[in-house]
Amino acid sequence: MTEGAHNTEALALDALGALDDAQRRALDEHLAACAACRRERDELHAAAASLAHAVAPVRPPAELRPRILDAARALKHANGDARPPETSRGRVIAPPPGRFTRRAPRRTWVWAAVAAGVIASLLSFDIFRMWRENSAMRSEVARLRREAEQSREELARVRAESARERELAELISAPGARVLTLSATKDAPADASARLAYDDATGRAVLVAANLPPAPAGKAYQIWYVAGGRPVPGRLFQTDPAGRGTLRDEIPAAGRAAKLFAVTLEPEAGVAAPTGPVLLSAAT
Amino acid sequence: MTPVREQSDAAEAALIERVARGDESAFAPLYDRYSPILFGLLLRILRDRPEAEDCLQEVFLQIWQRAPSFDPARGRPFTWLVTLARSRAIDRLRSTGARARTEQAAVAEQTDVIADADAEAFRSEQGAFVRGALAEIPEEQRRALLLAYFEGLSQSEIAARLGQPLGTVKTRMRTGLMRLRELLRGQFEGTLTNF
Repeated sequence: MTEGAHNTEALALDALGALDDAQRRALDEHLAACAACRRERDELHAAAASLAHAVAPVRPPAELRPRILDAARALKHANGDARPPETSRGRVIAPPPGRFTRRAPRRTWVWAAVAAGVIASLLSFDIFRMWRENSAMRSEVARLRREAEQSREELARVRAESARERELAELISAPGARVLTLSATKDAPADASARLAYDDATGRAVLVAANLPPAPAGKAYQIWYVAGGRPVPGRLFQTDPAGRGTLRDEIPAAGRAAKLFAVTLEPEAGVAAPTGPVLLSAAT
Repeated sequence: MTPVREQSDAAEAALIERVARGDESAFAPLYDRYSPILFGLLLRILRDRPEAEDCLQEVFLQIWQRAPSFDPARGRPFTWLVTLARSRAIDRLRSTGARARTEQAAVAEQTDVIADADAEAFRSEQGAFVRGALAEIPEEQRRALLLAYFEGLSQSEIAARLGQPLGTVKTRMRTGLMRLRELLRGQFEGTLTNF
């Protein structure tokens, strides 16, 4: 390696994903010719990836698992080239998983069939197969259409969410803003929580709740700013079936020195003093 | 590398190899094993749950398609999977626009690993190792590392954000990452647990 120091820097920046395209191309050229640098690159990539361990693992929502596994399966069938769909194998008993590789066995199978001279049966088999593929394709198209529909809805939802997040971000980056995490008390589901960002100077506050189940009919969640031992009532909010909810509030002057923040379940019209159990809370 | 870690690496590599051959029955265990860590990572980078959920699906579909390109000689399954997930998330983040990103980076930094080190969810052994290592890296190097890795900021964006010359920032990133590598190496050797 002729440009030792220079290359180590490029390799480190590459591992951190901070190279621009031109720098990357230059690095790739060098890597193609330098085994020592390739080893160094692999090690630095491993070190960078270990940063992922610094973040808490979070179990994704259960409904995501079948969605993702199904999508992978559908992709496999749509991608007949890389992984032949079962239909092209006709009613041949499926080989044990992991045994079939891409094209070779399929071709071998076809040639073996031809060699065996079962041309007539092959022809009728082909017709049967085409019929099956055709109907499989039709249901695939219908499925893709449904998915496109869902994606559109999803996109609208994501847009709304990011607008909310932006507002939160904007507020948090204001000088003097504070951010708290309200966590679940024993009366709430253990994974329920909320992030509260507020600015003492202006009283602006945004709360984003997660994993808080929708309130029963006629009820709503209410936030409280506890200052000097006295709970000052804030606004009410609801959560969606996924447990998410957002609240924008102006903290009343009496609540701005609050040291304690709480969320309770109350009648949906709101109350002046808390009546329901505290579900989420945080202290500064 | 420890024997236990080697074993679990080999088991995971075998799963990826089966996925590469189109074996659906290997995909679910791979998902079960990796979805929490990848989802945590995506949430950290994207800071938006629905966005992270979509991204997780994208990531696993890519794992499914790209499994044949996994090369155990180049690194651990963990590295391959995390690198793939991080780059999908950063692509998404970048498509949301640089300015919003820089602003959000300011927010995210406040909630970063070091500040949150006592949070309950961080009690995994692996996390403890990495945070321990990070804590030994000088503050200014650590910030540069985290801004690049989790926020996807470019060198010049990081320089602007930290108010430092570009050359200084590059050096910090390099020194920080090399130091992290050394520290983790030491920790791996000193333990018999499955990292």
